[in-house]
Amino acid sequence: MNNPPILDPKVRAALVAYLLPWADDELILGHRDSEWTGFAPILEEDLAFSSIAQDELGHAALIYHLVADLTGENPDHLALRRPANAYRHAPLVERPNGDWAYTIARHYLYDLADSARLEVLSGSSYGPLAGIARKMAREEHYHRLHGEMWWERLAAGTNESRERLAAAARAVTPLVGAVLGGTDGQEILVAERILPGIPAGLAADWRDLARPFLIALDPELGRLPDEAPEPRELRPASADFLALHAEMTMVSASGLGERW
Amino acid sequence: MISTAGSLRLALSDVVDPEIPTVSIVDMGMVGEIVLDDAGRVDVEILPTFSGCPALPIIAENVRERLARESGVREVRVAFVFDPIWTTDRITDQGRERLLAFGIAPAPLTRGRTLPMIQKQIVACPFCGSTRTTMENLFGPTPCRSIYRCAECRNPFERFKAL
Repeated sequence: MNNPPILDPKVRAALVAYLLPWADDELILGHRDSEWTGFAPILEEDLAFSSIAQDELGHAALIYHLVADLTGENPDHLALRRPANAYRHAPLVERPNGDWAYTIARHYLYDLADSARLEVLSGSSYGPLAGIARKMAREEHYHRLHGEMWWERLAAGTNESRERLAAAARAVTPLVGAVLGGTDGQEILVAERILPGIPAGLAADWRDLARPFLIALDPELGRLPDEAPEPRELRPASADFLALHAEMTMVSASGLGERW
Repeated sequence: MISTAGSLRLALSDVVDPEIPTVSIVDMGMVGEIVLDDAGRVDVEILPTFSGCPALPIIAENVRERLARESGVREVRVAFVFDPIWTTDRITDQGRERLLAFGIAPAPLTRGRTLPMIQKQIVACPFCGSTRTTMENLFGPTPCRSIYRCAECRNPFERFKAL
């Protein structure tokens, strides 16, 4: 049986700082996905988004468990008992779903950024992280197939569907890079090969994946600025997130029955 | 009889995935290393199938409960491991037959090939064997299955996603 490797306290702190925003991204996007359950435009999409939501929450749980193994905290508490202003997700994932085109554009572009991140993390020198990254990458394959199918369908559908997708892509594209932003002490993780890539490199990988889809909508959209993403910093909770947080934590905060 | 890692693995053939009750977790390829020490403490590795699978805590509990009934076992610890990761290639031949009998087309063997190549393969209907089948939805009633339809016998059926 292999126990997780023991990390130097500085490395451990840097790893926790890197993992938490990522777990928060997955948790919150998963919650947004789950809002389509029962409301999607067709039954197939009710199923698809429910499944995708379940996958994203599963991924969040894997990462929170990894954090909990490092800090001794309770993974459920990390996910659902923190105050709203302690979450570190990127603004992209907290935005309300909007219309179907916005939902697809936001999710697909996030999935491409997540793919770039998972590809790099699959080669992490920290075994437990490499393991869950490889696991998630295989599941994300199906999300990408789904997103790609819808992207093409909306882009090649009616003028209205194409216009709506283009408008959504214009609104979300500038927000995607932040998902790959650097975190406190990240240089230590890069030096240790726990994170075998730098934010600028990850952002470039994401742009390469996304560019053909954006160009297919509007050549102007494909001109993605070649810049490193802003570091991920704690932001005051937005009104959108306060509402989502209240709903997401309601059952957990009720304190009724701790067993499921 | 004194328990051994082998006899404990055999005992785990009684533990099933609650969502596919005809296939044991051994046939699903979910059981990793089993270590039994002199004090009767057992460490079992379980390889989770899909990471969002809600059946995992139930499976862990059933593993603990089943092994506790084996001779000389005093304590059972279950660890979920991701090295190696679980893939559908780990499902045994018997497991694939039982999935089929349950009405779920098994995932094709990936044998290290990439998933995009795999998904395009022809799928045989688990009810009539016809290959005149079409995928209706990549996503099914659980994260591990897609929905298909058979043009021959007109049954809808599920297929385990290659992972």
